[in-house]
Amino acid sequence: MREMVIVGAAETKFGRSEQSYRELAVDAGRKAMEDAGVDASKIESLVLGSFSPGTFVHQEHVAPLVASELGLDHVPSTRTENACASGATAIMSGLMQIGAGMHDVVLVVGVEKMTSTPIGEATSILAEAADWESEAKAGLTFPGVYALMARAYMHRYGKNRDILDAVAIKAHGNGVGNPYAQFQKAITVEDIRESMMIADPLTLYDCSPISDGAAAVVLASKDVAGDFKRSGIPFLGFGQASDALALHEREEITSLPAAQRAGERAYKMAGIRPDDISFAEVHDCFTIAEIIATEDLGFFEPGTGGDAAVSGRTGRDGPIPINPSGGLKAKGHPVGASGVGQVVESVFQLRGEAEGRQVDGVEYALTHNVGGSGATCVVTILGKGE
Amino acid sequence: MMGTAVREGTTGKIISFTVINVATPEFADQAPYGLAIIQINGGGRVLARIQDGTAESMTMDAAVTFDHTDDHGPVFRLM
Repeated sequence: MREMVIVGAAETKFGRSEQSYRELAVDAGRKAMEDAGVDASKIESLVLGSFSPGTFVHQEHVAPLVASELGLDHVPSTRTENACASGATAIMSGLMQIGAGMHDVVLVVGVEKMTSTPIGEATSILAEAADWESEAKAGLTFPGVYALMARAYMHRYGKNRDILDAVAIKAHGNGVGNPYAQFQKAITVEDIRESMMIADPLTLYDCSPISDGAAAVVLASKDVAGDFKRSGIPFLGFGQASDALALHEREEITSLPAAQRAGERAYKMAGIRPDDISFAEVHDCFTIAEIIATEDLGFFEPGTGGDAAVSGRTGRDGPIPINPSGGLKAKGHPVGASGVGQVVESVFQLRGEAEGRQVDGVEYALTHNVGGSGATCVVTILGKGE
Repeated sequence: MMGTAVREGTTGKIISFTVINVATPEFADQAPYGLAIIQINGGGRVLARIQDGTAESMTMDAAVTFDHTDDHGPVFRLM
C-alpha cells in the first residue's frame, strides 16, 4: 500500500453551537484545507462521517450536500455510518481510496449536530446504535449498556467507583487546557457525589455530553505530500474490527474484543508495541470505557486500568497520557465528529502545537474510536513525520 | 444472533445489572427500572427487566425466574 499522510487538520469547538449542521461541516472542512494550503480544486474525493443526521436534523444524503457547500468540483462523495465510530470509519475509507490508488488527496469530515434535539429524543436516537430487538426495545439506554459493563468490571476485579472518579476528574482537568473543549472547568469528587444518577452506577459525570461539532483532515499520498504547506503526519498503522451489537451476546463484557483486534491490526501494521505509544486519544464515552480501552490496547493488564488512572499514570505528565484533550468526556462527543477529532488532536500534538495541553516528547500517537458498546472499533497510529 | 428463548419456568442468574433513571420517552413512565443480563440455566443469555429491581434488591449472581412478557420483551423476578 502507498504511504499516506495528513497534510491538513482542523476542528470546530465542540459543545452547544449556534452553527447549523452544514455550517459546522463546512467550517471544519474549509479550515483543514486552509491548514494544508490547498483550495477546493485539489480535493479529489470527500468522505463524511456522520451517525444520524436524518433524525437529529432531518437531513440525509449529507455527503454531496457538504461537498457542494465546500465548492468541491463534482467529486465523488460518500457518507460512512458506524454509530459513534462513523468518523474514524470515514478516515479508514479515505485511506483505502488513496491506498488503492484511486485518489491522491481526500478530504474527510466528521460532523454531528445534536443539541437541537430534546434530550429524551437524543437518548432514543443514540440507543438505535445498540441492538434494537434485544437491547433498546427492552429499555436499555447507552449509559445503561456501559453501566452493565462498569458493574461487571468492578465486581470481577473488586473495585469501587474511585476508579471512575479518577477518570472523570482527569478528563475535566485536561479539558481546562483545551480551547476546543465543551467543558473547560475542573471538577471534584464532591461534584460527582452530588450529581444525578443516570444509570446506576453511572452518574452524570461518568457520561460524555450531547454535543455539536465537526472535525476534518486532508489525507494525501506521500507521493504528492510535497505539494502542501505543512509537512505530512504519517499514518503508520490502522485497524478496524466488528462484534455483536448486543453486549450480552459477546464472550466478554468487561473488555471489548473488537478493540483488542483493531489494536492488534494497527500495531502490526505500524510495527510498534503499546510501550512505544507516547499518548492516546481513546473513546471515553463513559468513564468505564476509558479504563477498559487502556487494557484492550495493551497499556495495562486486565483489571488494572482503573488503578492506573487513580495513581496518575494516565495523566498528562504520566508515563502514558490518555486523552490529553479532555476526551469525549470533557472535550465533547458530537458523535460523527469524535473519531476525526481524536486524529486532529493527535496531529496538533505531533506538530507540537497543542497549546495549553502539549504532551512532552511525543513520537507516536494512537486513536481509538468505538461504535455502539463495542460492535465497531477503529484504531489508528500516527508518527511524527519529517 | 437470534435471541435465547425464555418461557414459564425459565430460571437463571444475574451477571450484571443497572437501574435506568434517565429513560427514553417510551420508558419514561416506568423509570426508574431495573435491567439485568441474565445467564439462563441451560445456556444462553438475555437482557431483561427485573420486576421491582432496585440498586438495593438486585445483586450479582442473584437467582431470577421468568415472570411475564410484555410489548418490550421478557420481565424476570428475583427468586
